[in-house]
Amino acid sequence: MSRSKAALVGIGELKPTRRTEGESTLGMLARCSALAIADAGLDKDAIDGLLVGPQVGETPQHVPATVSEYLGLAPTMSNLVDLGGASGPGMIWRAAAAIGAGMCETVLCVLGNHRNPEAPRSPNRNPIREFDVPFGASGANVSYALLMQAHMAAYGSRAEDFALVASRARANAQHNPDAIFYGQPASVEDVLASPMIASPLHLFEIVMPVAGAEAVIVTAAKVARERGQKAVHLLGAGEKITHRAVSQAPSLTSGPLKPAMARAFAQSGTAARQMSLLSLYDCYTIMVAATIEDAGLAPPGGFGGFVREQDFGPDGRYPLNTHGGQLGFGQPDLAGGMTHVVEAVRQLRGTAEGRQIRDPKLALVTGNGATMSEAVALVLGADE
Amino acid sequence: MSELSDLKVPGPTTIALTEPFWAAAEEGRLILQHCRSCDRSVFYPREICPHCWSGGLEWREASGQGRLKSFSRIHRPGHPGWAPVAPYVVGLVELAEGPTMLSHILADEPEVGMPLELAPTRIGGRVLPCFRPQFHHQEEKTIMSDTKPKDGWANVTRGKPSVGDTAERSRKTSMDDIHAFTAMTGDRNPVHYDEELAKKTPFGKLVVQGGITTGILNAVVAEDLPGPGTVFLNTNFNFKKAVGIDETIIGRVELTSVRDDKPICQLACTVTNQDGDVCVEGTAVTYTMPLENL
Repeated sequence: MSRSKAALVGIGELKPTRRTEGESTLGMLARCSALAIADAGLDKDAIDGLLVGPQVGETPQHVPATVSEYLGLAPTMSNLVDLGGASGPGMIWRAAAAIGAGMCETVLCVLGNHRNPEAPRSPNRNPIREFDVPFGASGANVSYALLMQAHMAAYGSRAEDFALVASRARANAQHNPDAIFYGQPASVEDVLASPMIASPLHLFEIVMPVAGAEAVIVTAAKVARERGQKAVHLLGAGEKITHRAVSQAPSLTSGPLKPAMARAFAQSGTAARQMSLLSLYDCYTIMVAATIEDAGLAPPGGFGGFVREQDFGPDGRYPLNTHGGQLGFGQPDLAGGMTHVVEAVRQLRGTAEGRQIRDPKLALVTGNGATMSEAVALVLGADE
Repeated sequence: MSELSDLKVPGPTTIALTEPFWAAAEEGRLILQHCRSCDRSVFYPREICPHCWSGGLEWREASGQGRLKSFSRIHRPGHPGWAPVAPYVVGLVELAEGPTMLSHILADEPEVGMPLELAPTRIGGRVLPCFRPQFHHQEEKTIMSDTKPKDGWANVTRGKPSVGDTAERSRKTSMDDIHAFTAMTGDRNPVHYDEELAKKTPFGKLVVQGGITTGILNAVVAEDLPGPGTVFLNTNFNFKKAVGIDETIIGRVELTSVRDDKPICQLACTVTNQDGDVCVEGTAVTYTMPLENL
């Protein structure tokens, strides 16, 4: 596969749980990494690259060294990827770039978190803490509520269409026994009847925070071929950061994923409508709506028509978040963004038991961080 | 229902750079950094201008005017200290100077796009720059509630105007204008009275108060277009060139939008002098009170 920038050859995932007792994030990362390396059919000594995420409250600094030491690794390339929900997809192209630069051959990309009752968070001292929090705006819900309200005001988009996004995610979660909402479908009426959290956002339009971990092993395409591994290939990537606080966003209705996806499509020579799977970051319903429009799958303000026409299921024309998305699967903090990579690998390998899409060839994976401000897009392709 | 002033909530985490902003807020004022190099306003305060990376930032008094870009009514606050006043409204305020800030919005029925004005409010232990609907906007809504929705221009003296309509009128300024304006407002700025001093300033002459210059636009909208009954709901003027005494000024308006359901117009406005120099340029929103058949 000449177009391949790198091969994704192993995945690991811990089943999400609402709470943990006495767990350490390091321990969860280790368990998940072991699953990924076993899935890749490799020995842990094959790993010579390590990408990890921030671990607030446990390891504030020197994260790669701490994780390496815990796992008994001695990587020749390591880094902290700090892009919020875009960290997972952001790791994949960084791994490919490091391999391409000759710095390493096989990279472990791992994210996870515990949810012990104490869950210490470090006290923030930044512009959001100083200029937003004092007015009563704490947390991501407010930011995405403001984005959603702006979309409704600009385009007259309807609460029912946003609710349908959540309902579709819950429907897909019924095919995934590991999903936190397995056994709990939700209709549009259920979503609209769930408590209003920050208008216009209802409870069921917001991800459920869970404990969990996700890992992906990335290696050079030729190494994967020599080993005869079933691989998924990185064909294109794009990234863009525009702001941090929602008040500083250049647009409230279109985000940095637009240029990030455009670059990923250009690098891979593909288009949104060619995708066999859409694995789109979905922290809130508005995020899916904005991404569908930014990808050009619907005109600006037109996501509602797309959602009504497509059922997002494994047998539909546009399967979208077949694992349930984070809205159905749960959001294991920063690992939530990696669930979209892991599911895309499963689908493109043809190993998504019980929810396998037909004829899997191409997948679009998106990651999003902060307030629709950190964006990574990947185009992945099946082995040919 | 608790009061905002009683809340036990986190206040701003100030640093030396931002202290003037919060000190002004405590006095009920809003100040913004302005960049001397690229002439743009900056929010939140920074060490260098994010637009041009110049360090030449200075504090300026803000107009306190803005527009609601988006809002959310918070039912489940992210910080438990806010629970006693939930639900409450926060929103994004696009300030007249350009930047957007997040603020607490004192409005029962917020609407995206509504004009806002600064409303300093004590939250917990501090006075914060909150916002509320502009007075005229509230007034307009009251008027609306007893007006028939069908024809917004019924009983308006001159009837409904059209987009693209223009009107202008001119007058000559005089020292009497300056005295009359001082009598009205108490504005005795030396640049209007002390000719020796004024000549040494970049004006190079005695100038009339800005209100005299823009005042001609009050006459144009009330007398000519849209005509009798018209009041301003919003104005946004840039003063480009000072007007002196015994100068002929021409106020001109052009309608850029006219609503069907309400007697509301948006206008582009200019005031030019006898040499054709633009002295004031800006936009306005008018409401034309129906005066017929009262």
